[in-house]
Amino acid sequence: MNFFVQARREFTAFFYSPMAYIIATFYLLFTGFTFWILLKNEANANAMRSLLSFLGFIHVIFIPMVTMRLLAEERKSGTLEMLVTAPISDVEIALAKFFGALSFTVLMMAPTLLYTWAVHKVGGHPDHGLTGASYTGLLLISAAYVSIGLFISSLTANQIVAAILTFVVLFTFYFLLGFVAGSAAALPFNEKVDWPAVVNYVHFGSRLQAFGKGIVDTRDVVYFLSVVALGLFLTVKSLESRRWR
Amino acid sequence: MSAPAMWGTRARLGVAANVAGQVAFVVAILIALNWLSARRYRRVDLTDDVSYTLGGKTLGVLEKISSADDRYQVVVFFAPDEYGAWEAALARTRDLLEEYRTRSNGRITYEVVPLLSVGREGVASAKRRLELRSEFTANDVIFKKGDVERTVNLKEFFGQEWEDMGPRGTPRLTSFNGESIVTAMLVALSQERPIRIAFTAGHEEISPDDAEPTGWGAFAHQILEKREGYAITRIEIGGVNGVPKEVDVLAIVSPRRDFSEADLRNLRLFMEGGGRLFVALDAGPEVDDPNGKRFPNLFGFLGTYGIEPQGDIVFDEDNALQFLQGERISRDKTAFRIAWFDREHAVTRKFTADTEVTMAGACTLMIDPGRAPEGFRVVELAKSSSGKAYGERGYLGSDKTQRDRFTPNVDIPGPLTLAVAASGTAKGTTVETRLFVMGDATALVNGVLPQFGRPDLALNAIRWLAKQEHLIQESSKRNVDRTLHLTAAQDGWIFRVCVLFLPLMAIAFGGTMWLTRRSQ
Repeated sequence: MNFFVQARREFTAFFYSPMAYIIATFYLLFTGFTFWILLKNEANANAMRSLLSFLGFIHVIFIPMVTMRLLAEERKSGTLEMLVTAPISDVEIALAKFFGALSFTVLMMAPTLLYTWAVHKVGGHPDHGLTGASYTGLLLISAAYVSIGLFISSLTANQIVAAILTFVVLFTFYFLLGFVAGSAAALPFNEKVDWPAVVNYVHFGSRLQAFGKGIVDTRDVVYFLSVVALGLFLTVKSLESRRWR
Repeated sequence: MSAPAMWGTRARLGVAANVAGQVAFVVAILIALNWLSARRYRRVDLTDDVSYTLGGKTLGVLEKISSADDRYQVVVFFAPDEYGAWEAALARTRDLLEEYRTRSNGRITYEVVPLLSVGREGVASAKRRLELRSEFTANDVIFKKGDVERTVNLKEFFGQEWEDMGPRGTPRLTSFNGESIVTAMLVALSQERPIRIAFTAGHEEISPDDAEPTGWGAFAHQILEKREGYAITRIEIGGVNGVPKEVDVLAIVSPRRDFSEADLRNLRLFMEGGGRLFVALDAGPEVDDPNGKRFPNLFGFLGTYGIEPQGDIVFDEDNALQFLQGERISRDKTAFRIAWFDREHAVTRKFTADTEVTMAGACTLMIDPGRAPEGFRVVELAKSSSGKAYGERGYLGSDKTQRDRFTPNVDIPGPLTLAVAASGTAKGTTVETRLFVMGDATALVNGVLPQFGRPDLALNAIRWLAKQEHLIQESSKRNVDRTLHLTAAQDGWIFRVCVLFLPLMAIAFGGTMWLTRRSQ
């Protein structure tokens, strides 16, 4: 019960902050403009597929802004001390923060569903299965981003530092690992371990590709859920550490 | 909150080590979970037309490939066209190849070489790097395993249609046959001995070596030999040696002269010994005998298997193809899509309602199973529609009437049988004899095949005759055209909804919330 109360509190807290509306406005502006350009250039009703890759990147920028305040703000204002001594476990705190931020992200994404409707209105025939799979992928990768952002936010009292660190980590997993996977084939120790495959496996961009085609691959689902689980576990341990450090 | 005062450094280090151990344990569990999921996984294809669901045969082939050490390379030498059709074709093919790569655990890799952007030196460099020896043309796809290479052109993956052209005059890619072709190429690469197909000569047949518009060079050499891995030869069967023993499949394609008694004798010997015969006939311009006795010997031989070719030409108005002639779209009733396929025989079992197989200038095949040898089964594989289809007798005959309309009691009413298979074991042998006859050879000539000819029926028949039924796959998938060219008004509307309206809604919602809170 404590978890639900806390999750609701986290979710509604976003709406009291003007920052949330600024983030949502810019998010919709970027995605809307990109979708419009893609639709014009590709002349294909399935422009949603290309948009998904772009959204994976856009979320690398926007989600750190959503998660930066989750625990860093509490730590800075001193409310974290109250929170961890309240009758709510660290696990519940982490889960409540996570689902609060994820719910806000989903709400921010929800208006983009209207793009599919808009394509219908102008006579296009988008693939609904592909759209559904794309949003499934986007939800999973967003959850992974939020859990990473939450953990990083638990490490510092400075929101800007939390945002920048989260961005760097997400950028590494979404972009840099893609380049590393490409060049790993040339590495001398390639014969014993299939490094390109390993790096490719943990590369967020690669894990998102199948969703963009309309395929839900259990490997991708397991991977993203593993990242979420790891992020939440580390957040809990970070919260616990305040008791013994 | 600081740690309790009684916690010494040692105690803290102990807790830290404990936490580090917990983290390592959880990370190990998650790695194990991912390792397991990478070995036992499912891919759910949610696309409306299940574009990425590979057939059972393909999965079987990929399972073998993924558990072996062999590496397969696929290289696409890509060049775009002014319509953008090749880009669409490449995108679909790339998606398919990605599925093959994923399912084969990386044993199959692919690469696209963009011819226009890399230039001549770039192409030469790519060929050196990939150790390719084959010559290629634009949009050729080369499959390579070790030193063996096979080539197919991207256009063979797709059915094209020129009707309902888009505003920019883009040809539509109507169907996608990539899976069948890619799997066949992979199997061909792993074959030890090629299956030999011998085309008969000496009766003015359509030649497999003829590169002219009326020849079968493209089908025989590009598809059967280069793509599917069959060995193609031409033989005369009337000699004392008859049909050589190493011939796996004998093919008779649209002869213009009848077979001699010696030919027939050797043909019978071949069939009685478990031979496998492919026959493609045509209405042809010399349809001058309304009783269908054009080639008494050859047709008489087919009659002994219960198959009786007629001296007609088939019209099917319901399924007639459309052609682009200059700015006009015209229809030819003698060129049509086959309306019905048998859903049980191996040759046509995998065909669906969307399978596009065309005929052009076909003759009707009538069947009389009672005349077939004992133990033989004769099956009608393909038929025309029943509505406005008929077989016109004497259309281009000596009277030159060219009526082009159904005449009761003279012409044959639809539905008309267009392809037949017969199989059984001759007395005294244990090897099964197989015979396939189709009433059309023109749809596969060089001048027609690239336009609208689909080789699926003939190809499946050859695979069946060669006892390679395992290569017969689900046929072409319908390629849903999702092209969307926006008018200026639609473009403006999309911009207003997506770029202006939604962000403004977020601002308005935020502003309302702020004002509400302020008033409280």
